[in-house]
Amino acid sequence: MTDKTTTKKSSPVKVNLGCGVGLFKGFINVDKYFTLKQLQSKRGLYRNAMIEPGAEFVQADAANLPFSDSSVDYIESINMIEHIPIRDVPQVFAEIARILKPGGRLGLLTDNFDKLAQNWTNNVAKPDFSEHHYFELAQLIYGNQLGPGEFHTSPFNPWILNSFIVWAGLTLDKMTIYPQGSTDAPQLQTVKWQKNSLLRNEVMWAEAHLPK
Amino acid sequence: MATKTIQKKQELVKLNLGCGVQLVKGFINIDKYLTLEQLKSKKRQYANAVVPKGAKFIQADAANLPFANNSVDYVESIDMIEHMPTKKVIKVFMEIYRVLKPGGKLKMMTNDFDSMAKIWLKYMTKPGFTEDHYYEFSEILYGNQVGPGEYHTSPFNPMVMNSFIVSVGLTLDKMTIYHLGTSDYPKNAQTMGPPMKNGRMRCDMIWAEAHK
Repeated sequence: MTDKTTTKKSSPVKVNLGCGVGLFKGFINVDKYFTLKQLQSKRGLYRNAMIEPGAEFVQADAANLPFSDSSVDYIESINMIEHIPIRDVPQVFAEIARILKPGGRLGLLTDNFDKLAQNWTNNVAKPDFSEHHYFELAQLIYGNQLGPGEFHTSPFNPWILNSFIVWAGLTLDKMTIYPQGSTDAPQLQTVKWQKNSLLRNEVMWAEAHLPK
Repeated sequence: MATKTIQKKQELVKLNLGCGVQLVKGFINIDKYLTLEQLKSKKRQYANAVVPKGAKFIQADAANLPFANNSVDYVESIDMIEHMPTKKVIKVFMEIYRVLKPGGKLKMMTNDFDSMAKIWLKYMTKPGFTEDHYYEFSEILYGNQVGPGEYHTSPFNPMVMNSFIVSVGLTLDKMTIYHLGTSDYPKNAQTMGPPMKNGRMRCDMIWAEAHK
């Protein structure tokens, strides 16, 4: 009897929230700003574009997710939340909590604004700042600005991220800070890090779950 | 003869570049994101909206101004340049230089990101800040986000501002910093709306005066 149950068990429902140009098989990849056709045409435009054959894609707003309550096992969201307008951020966390099954997990990665503010103060707020530093940091603060949605609109740091997670009713299991320049990076299912690539900014990797 | 010349003298051509919802008579008011109709309808939406009768308005992109070379006496731009995508900022300064007559003047106001970085590092990097603080400060950093164009996309400080001004061939005459928390403001500004004049500065502001 147990065997039968095991074989009948469907595979976990996993959502790649704010997939951008990285679509992965085994995930329902979600982004607001693309159709699948546009995504496919963008492959030439972005070096890091990756569309695994058979990857599912749904165009949707993270503040209004087309999933029923308690239907998702795992949400991974990489460099998405900083693209959400500041007044919509609580709604996105509420949506994540709504669609997760009890015990379902969230893995979320975003930039640490504390480090951006420090970098600005240390590198740009002085007369001999370099143009390169300025444009690099402007991009890290405000997004690459290459197209719709590719703008940053909300700042986070560990305290703020923790506040949103807890406010939405999720339990934070672990928050890991990966420093700028490090080659170390979290084991992600929806990003294939290039070997030895350096992190351009300090990032936070938050792991949380919806309590049963 | 002298009186005749004075009477014949044409009115000065003055631009209010990035007027938003505050149009000023005697200026050609310019904004990318609004039509005059929309502006009038926004009067109800914004407490600070001002659309005087007879004020001229042109919908245009600051990076592509519909004016001939050497045709403008004065450009005033209040809280506009931080709304420009970073890669377009230099083009805006080049356009200002192009349309100004030799001897024509530019006066420009924008947020000082040095002060925003300082405020963030002072108040946001440890617990104790309030939710209101966070939202208010996020809006100062990233714009009020209530409509298209109302997002900040480029950071400035006095050194960065000076670099852009000098690199297009303008001469900086004066740069004044109006400090956070004070209710001081540039008295020689002609297009500045009532909220700035009546309220306190929410972060340090840069007031740059330059000429061609």
